[in-house]
Amino acid sequence: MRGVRRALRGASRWGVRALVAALALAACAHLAVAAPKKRKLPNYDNRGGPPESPARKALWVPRVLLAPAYFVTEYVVRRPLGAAVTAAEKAKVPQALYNFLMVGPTDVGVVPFFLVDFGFEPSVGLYGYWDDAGFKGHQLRFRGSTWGPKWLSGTLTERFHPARGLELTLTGTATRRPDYTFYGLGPEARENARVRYGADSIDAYGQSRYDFAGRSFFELAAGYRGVTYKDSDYDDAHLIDAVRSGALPEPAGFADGFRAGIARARIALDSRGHRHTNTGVRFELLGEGGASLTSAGDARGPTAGWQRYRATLGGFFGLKRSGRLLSLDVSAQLAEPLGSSYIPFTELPALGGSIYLSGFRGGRLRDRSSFAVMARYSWPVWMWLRGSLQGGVGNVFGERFDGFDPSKFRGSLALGFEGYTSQDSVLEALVGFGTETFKSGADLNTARIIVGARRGF
Amino acid sequence: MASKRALFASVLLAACAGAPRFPLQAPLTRDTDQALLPEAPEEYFSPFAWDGANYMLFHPLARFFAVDPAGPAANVNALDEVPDSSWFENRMGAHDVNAEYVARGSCGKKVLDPGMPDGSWIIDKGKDNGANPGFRVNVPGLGKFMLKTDPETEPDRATGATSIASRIYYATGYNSPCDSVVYFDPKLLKLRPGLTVTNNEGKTWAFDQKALDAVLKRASHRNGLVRMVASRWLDGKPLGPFRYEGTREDDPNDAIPHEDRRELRGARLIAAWLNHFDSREQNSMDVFVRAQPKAKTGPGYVRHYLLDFGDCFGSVWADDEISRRLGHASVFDAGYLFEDFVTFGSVERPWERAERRGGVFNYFSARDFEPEAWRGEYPNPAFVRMTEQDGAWMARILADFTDELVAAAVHVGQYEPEAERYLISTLISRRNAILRRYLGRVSPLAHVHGDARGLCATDLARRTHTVPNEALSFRAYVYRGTPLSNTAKPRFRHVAPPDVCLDIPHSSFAPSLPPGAPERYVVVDITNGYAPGPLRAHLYDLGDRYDLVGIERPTELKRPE
Repeated sequence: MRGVRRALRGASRWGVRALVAALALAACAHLAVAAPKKRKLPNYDNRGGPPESPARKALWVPRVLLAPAYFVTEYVVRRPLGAAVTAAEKAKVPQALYNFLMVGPTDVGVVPFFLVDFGFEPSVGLYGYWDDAGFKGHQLRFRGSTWGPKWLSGTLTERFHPARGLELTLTGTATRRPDYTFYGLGPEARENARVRYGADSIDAYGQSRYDFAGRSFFELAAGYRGVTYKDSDYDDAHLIDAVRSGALPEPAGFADGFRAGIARARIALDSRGHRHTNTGVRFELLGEGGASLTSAGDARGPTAGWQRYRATLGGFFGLKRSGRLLSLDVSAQLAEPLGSSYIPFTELPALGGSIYLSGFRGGRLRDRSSFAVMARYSWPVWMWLRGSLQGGVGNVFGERFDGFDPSKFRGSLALGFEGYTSQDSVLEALVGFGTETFKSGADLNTARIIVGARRGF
Repeated sequence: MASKRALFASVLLAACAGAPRFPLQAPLTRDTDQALLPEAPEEYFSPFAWDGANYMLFHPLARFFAVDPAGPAANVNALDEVPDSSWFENRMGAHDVNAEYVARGSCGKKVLDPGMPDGSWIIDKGKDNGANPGFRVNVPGLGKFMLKTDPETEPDRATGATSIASRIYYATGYNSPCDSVVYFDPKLLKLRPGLTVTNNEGKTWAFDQKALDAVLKRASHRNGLVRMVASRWLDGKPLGPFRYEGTREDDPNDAIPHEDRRELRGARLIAAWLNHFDSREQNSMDVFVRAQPKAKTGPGYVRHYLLDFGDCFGSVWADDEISRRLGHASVFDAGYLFEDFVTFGSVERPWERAERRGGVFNYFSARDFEPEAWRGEYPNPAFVRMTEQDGAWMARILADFTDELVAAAVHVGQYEPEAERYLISTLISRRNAILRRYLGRVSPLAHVHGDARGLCATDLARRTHTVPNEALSFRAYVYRGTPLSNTAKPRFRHVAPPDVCLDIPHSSFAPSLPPGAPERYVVVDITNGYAPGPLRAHLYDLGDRYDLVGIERPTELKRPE
């Protein structure tokens, strides 16, 4: 401890010396290029200027109090930054950078981004877009992010629009992360039961989507999903240790992972149609099936296979112009194994994350079914940013809603900003809170803070 | 000797009393900032990206902690006016500013004549950058002109706006270039071979006939003629833009921080009037004007210009969400962002109500125009320091910019008749909004002068019908001597409003009493019944006349100290 103090003292002494030297140098430089003496100002109003008011004289008090903040913002941040950026502009560095990042006028570019989701590793990355690369009529997208060799993610997407309203998408994502969380299954999973695991996953699919009647669409997708679960070296309790010690039963599929073919269909019917109004009703139904690609003979036990359904009914009410929107939606999810297969635990219905009960981290609540009621209000705060207030109740339950009981619902509240410039990447700053079940007192016991570009395509 | 004693006495009195008195001295009408420098200062490089980032983010933060709210402007003379300088020249009121004067602007007789013989406009330079393409022509006997087109998506607007705004800025006192709309036959042009242009990204290409044809094709056309705006090359050596804060270190004449110059602070109201949201340093220019106009070397001084007004009257950006905000909010407006977030969007903003009904002028309208709330695309450090007095000063100038002058300025834009009518009525409505706001809080009495019987002034609020033009609500209070004491109520002379004159009985003084003696000091407060503050005139009773030596416009009526 003493050593640390000594080091800090030494560092601060060196810091002071460096500051004094820098100031002396700056003063010398200033003297060396001394500006010509300014003219003597005339007595503009013949009386030496109007008298200073008592209120202005009194400003010295807050001025002295805020002097340190002023010194930092003016002399440590603004002026050095200004000098650096100006020098860079003079040397045409921004143009060079722009030319490097923006190959064409507007249809090709690379944009850096970051994401900080407290409780997970942060990440930084690049989002790239290139419309009509090589030939006309398609959109190429790339999103790569990392936080060291153990946190890597890359997505490549290609979109075509062969006919009005029809969009074909080919996309592939490979992700390696060491910081996934697991809290156990069921509505009572406790916050303090959190353990970590790592996973390598590959997701690739082709999708066709047909938009009709304004905001309604029909979507079909088929592809591949493969996941290998592994231990995590994240500084937290580990799932593998919890399983070994018997504190948690081993989640289905954790030992072997899975490789599965995926098929998905989704339909959304929206009463708002082409009208500008934001008021209306929307019904959405999703069905997904996954079947293991590992043959039963090769497998050591049952193989992965599931079917999952989600139904959502939402009502929207546009309060005023310019996107003030109030909505209420009810969503239910259900997963069933295919025959004697098992459902990998990461394919179980989940709540938490960006869409449902966003006061909880993604995957915080998992089980065979889920139910959530969400009220949302969004309003414009800037050209490309809207405020978002989301409140909801819900939870996960057992097989086919076994044990469904409203008193087991949890509450969630989140407030923040959300960008709406691109369908590929959503800028978000959000603070959220989640509670224990109402039955156990609804104590506020989880908080979520997320800042950055949240999602790819 | 006697006057020196009197001056000394008044200074001594000033030192003892509250506010210093104005000595018996003529007001300063011309600044001393045109002293000749032996050589031109260095060219200033204006950082495009940093300028935006600085004034949107870093500068407001640092200034907040500096606790330095705007005080009175530094270059205000005893009559609450701005003396002529290398920045500003009093034209409204000082010259006979009529419709012809406004239409002429800074052009004088040197304007491009489309009736010249074919091939007489020699293109000697392509236009490197900017939103609108163009080229430079050199016309023997007239000089050089930069010709620019309108944006493809906004035919006619920018070329007309540049011409009109440059005349309005000029008439109101600023240095602005001669920008004029020209319709011409391309046969007038003669392209000098071997020209190239280089864009901001450093890409260079030939400015040949094909490039010229592309520029001309993009321009607006009427009756087979090409419409462009011709900006006459400024006389002198360009030194780059001026900054709206601080001073130019290498110019000894530039001694007043720009953010404290009244004409730069007050320019906020003209920018608001015309919605010149792009009023940032990149749209200004310092020019070294030599004492010998045609000399290439030799002494001179720096003159400061405002230019590039193509954004006025409803320029739009590619993103409609930005376009509808222009003039109402900065591109990034942390204040509104915070307010809208914490109020959950409960306040409906004017840009949400904005409708693109202005024809070629897009969103430009008088609807929802609040001069005080007007904002440029990012904060201008001089504009944000505009005080009530600075705003009132500019409003007094704009009060002289009559409907007829507005029409004369707009006519040079050569718009279609319907567009011209729309622009005139919109500008008149917006000007009236400015007058309502800035002639209402401090006294709008102007054109003040002392005479043999007392004092006369004109109420600009009454004259412009900003308030009812009646004579009943004027009040006056007269104080004399040392210390100032009330005297009998003065009598109003019978003059028709909006003029107001006051008869003040002369006191009897010993003949030996110097003219500038404190005993002769008279302070007159006149309220107009609408503005809460009075016009405070400082005079000397010289026996046979009153000499006006100072004017103040306090925000409230209080007995002078």
